[in-house]
Amino acid sequence: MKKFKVLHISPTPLVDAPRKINDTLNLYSKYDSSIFIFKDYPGKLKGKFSTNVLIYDISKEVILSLLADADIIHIHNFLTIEQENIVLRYSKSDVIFVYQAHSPLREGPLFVNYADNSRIDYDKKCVIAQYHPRLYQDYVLVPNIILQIPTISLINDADTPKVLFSPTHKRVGGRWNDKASSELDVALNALEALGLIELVVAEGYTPHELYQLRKRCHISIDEIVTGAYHQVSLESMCAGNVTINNADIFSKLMLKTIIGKDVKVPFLNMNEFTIKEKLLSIVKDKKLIRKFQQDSYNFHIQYLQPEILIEHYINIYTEVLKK
Amino acid sequence: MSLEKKIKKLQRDPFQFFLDSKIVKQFSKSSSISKPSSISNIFEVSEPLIFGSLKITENNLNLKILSKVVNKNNSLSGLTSIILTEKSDIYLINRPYISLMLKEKSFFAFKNKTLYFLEETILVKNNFLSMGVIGKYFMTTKILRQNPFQEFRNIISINAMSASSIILRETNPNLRNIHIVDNNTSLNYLEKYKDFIDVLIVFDGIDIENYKNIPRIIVFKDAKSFLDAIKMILIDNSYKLESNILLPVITNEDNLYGIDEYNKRGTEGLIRFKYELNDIKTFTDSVENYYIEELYLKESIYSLYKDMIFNIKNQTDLKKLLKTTLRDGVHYEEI
Repeated sequence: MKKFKVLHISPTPLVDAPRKINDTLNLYSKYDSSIFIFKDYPGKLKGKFSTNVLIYDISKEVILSLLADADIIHIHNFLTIEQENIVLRYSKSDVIFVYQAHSPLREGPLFVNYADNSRIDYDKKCVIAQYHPRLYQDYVLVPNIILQIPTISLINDADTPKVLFSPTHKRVGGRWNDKASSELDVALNALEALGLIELVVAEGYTPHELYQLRKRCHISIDEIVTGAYHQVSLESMCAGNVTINNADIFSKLMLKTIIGKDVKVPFLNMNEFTIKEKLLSIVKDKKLIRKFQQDSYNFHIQYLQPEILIEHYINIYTEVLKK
Repeated sequence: MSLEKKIKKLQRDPFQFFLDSKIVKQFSKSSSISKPSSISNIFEVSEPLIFGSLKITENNLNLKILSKVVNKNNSLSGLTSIILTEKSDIYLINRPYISLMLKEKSFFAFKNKTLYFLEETILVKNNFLSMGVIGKYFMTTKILRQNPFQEFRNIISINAMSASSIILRETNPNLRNIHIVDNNTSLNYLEKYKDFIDVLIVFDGIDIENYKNIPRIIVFKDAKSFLDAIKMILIDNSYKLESNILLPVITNEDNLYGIDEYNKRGTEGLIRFKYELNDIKTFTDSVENYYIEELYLKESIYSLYKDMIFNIKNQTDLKKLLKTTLRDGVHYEEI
């Protein structure tokens, strides 16, 4: 049987999300998958998320041959007109295009609805099943995949809880991109000053470094402002951390839809009004921390392992190839 | 004028028709609506605040911001609006609707310096811009990505024949597009952009059958109802800080337990629904599987969707409201 070739293309590393789909396909499917990005992040993030992908300017020749070979081209987020030109010029005439949205609308970095208005005719449009589906209401739901090794290190009664907070940016003023919360800062600083937690604020690390840190922590904080959850929350469960966010019913429902089961998602919901009180009560209760750590880890093992989640992508490819 | 002549005039130029009608003449006794001879006449009334300029050519977009917004008073933030206006003509003279707003003494938005003008120049052969082209402008124009209209809530366009308002709306999730339309030419032009219109203020008699999905549509038939519509929209789009309580769209109980607590912390929406997880591929599928039992919206949000809410007859309508509000970013808590 022919081994179909999939090529993932992303404008930037997109915090490593497309690369993980690519690697999982190679590990757990019959597809031969490759990936390249057009540009690395600028500034401080340069090189942090791009170590395992090809970059257009550096590996142009190889990339052009991958384009010529691909049966399915899976485009992430958006391409500029010039980038579309490259893809259209060098790919096969009967190549199948799949699109996947990772960003909100009307705020950075994507802003406008790209795929519905692109010159590329997409056979299937997908969207990350976190908060995004409410913005792309008719796109097929797909999961983000965590490829780290699942691990858990339960807190001991004598330990001070280690809390990891790793905001990727400080943008404010959007609806979905905000991460910062002054209430959260106050709560974390107060608990640290009281010696009730050991606070780890991690900025500018590679995903691999960040996971090594996370493994040594007990609690991970995603963000508590928007009602979304992000890769941080998924990674937190994989690392057996208590997962704090403010994911709303619709974000959680998307996760339940992906795993196909109406089970309790082990997020510990806190918002700007409840963060002080709720954070204080959890850090004092080691037994409760252990319970949430275990629930997180179990949830990952049971529902979020890459070989299970990759089925969503395989189903999409099978369907578009049938046409 | 004979009735026949009047009807012809109404069809030909509805705005001029009501401009000349008795009711308008009476209404505008103090501030004559006849076109002023020079721009200085307008400046005497009040000084329009020019916020900046927007120039769109085939290949690029140029946005210049001249001044920062003066009024930062929170209680007025909802009123802060941009009016799109063509630079090429002496706009205040040639645009009767703008004259009307500027001359109306009780027009609070202008009095409070919350109405700003953005001068647009469109040099695009085929004036319709696809979202693909708009996307390209975003990728090539840094200022568009820097949330340049952060202080604003409303974009007001009058008989738009350009995509400017659509482009500006994409810069910020809080901006709402208000389109005032009195003729079919403009309405037909906007059809391709109708998903990006939040409020349509339309002259009586114009067929709006294809536009029913726009969250708010207000029909006006004379100068007074036109001004009332604008005022109502600006008030509804404003943030009311004093009282802003959750209002039921659909509810089972007389007194929802804990509602004071929700109100105190500013909850935007409350929802109780049953769901199933079978056969779901998309968000739309997911919502199709809901049975909405209760839904509340905070007053300031409720007022944005009033017309949709008043027309709710069944679960399908409720789900449409839910999908629209979620798309617009409303944060629901579960009850």
